[in-house]
Amino acid sequence: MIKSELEGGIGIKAEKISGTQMAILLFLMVTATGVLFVPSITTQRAKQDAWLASLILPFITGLIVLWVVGQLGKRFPSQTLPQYAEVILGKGPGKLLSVGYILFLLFFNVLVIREFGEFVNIAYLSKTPAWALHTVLMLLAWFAAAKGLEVIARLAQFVLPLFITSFSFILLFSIPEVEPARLLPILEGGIRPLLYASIVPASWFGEVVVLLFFLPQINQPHEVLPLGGWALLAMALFFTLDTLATISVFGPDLSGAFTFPFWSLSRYIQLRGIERIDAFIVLIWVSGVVIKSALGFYVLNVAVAQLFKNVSYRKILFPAAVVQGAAVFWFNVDTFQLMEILAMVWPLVSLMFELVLPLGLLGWTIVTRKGRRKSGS
Amino acid sequence: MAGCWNSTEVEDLALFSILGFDWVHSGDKDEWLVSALLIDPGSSGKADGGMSSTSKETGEKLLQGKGESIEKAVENLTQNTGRVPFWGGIVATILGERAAQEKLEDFMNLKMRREGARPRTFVMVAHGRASDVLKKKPAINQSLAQELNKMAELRMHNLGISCAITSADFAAILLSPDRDAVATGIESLSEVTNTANPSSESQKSGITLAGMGVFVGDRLSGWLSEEETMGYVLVTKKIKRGEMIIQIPTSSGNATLKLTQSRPVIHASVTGERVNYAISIKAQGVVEELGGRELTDAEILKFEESAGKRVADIVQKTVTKAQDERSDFLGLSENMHRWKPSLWKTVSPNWRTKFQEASISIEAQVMISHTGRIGKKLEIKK
Repeated sequence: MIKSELEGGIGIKAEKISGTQMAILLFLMVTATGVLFVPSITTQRAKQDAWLASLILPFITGLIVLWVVGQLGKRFPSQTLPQYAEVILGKGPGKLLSVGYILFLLFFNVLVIREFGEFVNIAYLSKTPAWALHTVLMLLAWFAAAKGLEVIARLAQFVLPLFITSFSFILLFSIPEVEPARLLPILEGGIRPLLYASIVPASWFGEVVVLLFFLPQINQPHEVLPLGGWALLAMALFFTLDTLATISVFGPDLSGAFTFPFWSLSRYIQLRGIERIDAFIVLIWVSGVVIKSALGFYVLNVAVAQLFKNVSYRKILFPAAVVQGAAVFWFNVDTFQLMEILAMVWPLVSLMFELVLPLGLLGWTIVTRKGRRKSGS
Repeated sequence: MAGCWNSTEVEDLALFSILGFDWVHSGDKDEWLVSALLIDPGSSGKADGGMSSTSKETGEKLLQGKGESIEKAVENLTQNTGRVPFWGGIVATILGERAAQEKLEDFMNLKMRREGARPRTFVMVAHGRASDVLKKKPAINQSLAQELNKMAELRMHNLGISCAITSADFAAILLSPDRDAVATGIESLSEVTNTANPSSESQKSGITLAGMGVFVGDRLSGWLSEEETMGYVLVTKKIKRGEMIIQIPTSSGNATLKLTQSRPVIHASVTGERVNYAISIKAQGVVEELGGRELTDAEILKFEESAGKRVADIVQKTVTKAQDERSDFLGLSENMHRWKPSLWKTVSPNWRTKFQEASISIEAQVMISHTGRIGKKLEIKK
């Protein structure tokens, strides 16, 4: 048990996860929803070049976020954002920033739950009311979050091989349908549409910012950047292959017209008469979303608990679940509106919290010489 | 799949296998007529409580619904049956000729939005009404859907006189900025009276996949004959294990060539205002039937030459048809877009006109891999 965490006052067990577990968590969190929702938006913007959109810019964005989080962590070891924000910015502004992050995380969770509901509704359980799907997911997330970070991490370790296998299945089975000429011409509209498209996957990659709230729980802090970097590389690979397969099978115009191109691909592929493997694949995909949702809810709870210093984490769980549940029901949009939000509004909002604010915070820390210096004084 | 919520037993589902869409004139207005074949494994030929279904004694039933909008017609399809429609098992959707000419957009919107219908279902266009096709009996298979599926696969892979188009292919081309669509043509054959047993109901001899429907933008504008379809397959597909039968005129009557492999290469260029396309086809084939004569090496060379001419001739007919119809279903403009994007920029504002006016040269090389002779010609006494 680590003393500093008890000092943090959030009353959760001093759990530790390894760097590998962290990398798996981050990878599953980003890819679980990303593979379904991102390709449609990027192909609408960058057409046949969309597969390039997830390669460079999002990867760099993710690396910067990871580096900033790591630097803040070095200066304030064993503390998380709500704690050191007050040290850096002063009590009032620090609390304000934490509240901002709590709202961001709340909305982040709401979006994930709604994304899940829309997808399952459209794809399979068309007669099941969305609230029932949302409730099931929230209960699972709530249960996992109540058990703590270590449980979520172990869950992720279990799901990862299944997730990768099912993903590889789709890619492998789509090879006979692939027509590489569909990717031509390259960079037809120049670099601008590509950059515009990159914003969306970049905001997804930036989700690694949740590390701000559980960095002290990683047992080898120096592993965060290298292992997190590998996770980002894997994300870039998955996003790229995902879009590459969809475009080279359906072409850019149809891929952009599908709401969930990768899911349509899983319904399209067949190998020697084996068809309809999509239900199996979705099953595994859903388990990825459960992990994302659980981690999101966990982080939200940590943030709230640390904002109110001496409140125990467990006492936050129930009220947070109620608030989050209410927000999900209140945020009532249809699929088209949800896609518009994910394409137009959310990337900017989330990049603000993922990239701009942490960078500003780090900059201000350096200017005001707050926190522990690298020399380790 | 409805899920546990409102879960439905299999016998309560309306399992559609083929859907037909017609835009018909009824009374003084136009409306949609949607026909559907329903798989009904439980009852073989037993009429179901006087509903408007025609039993076909094949485990398939025909349902029809009418409506001013396509959605309404689909709703009406099942409203009298007390069953829940299930779209996941559809093999093909068939569009009537008039619907394809006038109402393609409504049809595609329905198709793309009904996520239950899978992207691999075939899209076909009927000569005349789709509902007439659905009324036919299968010739040898258990169900019309099975027959259609097998026919599409066989003809696509082997003969080259028809080509299966999935709804994903079809939609991708309709949405693309540089190509026109085609869809498999389907025809209901005329009735043949069963001469062996004239008292029985006249035998409806079923359906055939014949040629393809050609689209310009969102309307059906014409048809490809079987030979023109062959030309389409030769220009657009890489054939690996074909059985395309082509008759080659020789000095001693027609010989039969079976094309087993073929590969098209298209090259686009622009001279002045004019677009040029060079289509070159390299094919391999087997001489199937030559009246038992032996071919010398010189004769083989000569035969290859006339086979090349014949293939080029077939392709030429298709190209002429495409330019006449002003429909670039061969994907020549698409090819330019992909491989010569800078040329495409100058052509794209009026690409159909440019395609129509383009000069298209065709070159075909056929290599005979072996002559299919397995024995001497039978000498039958006169």
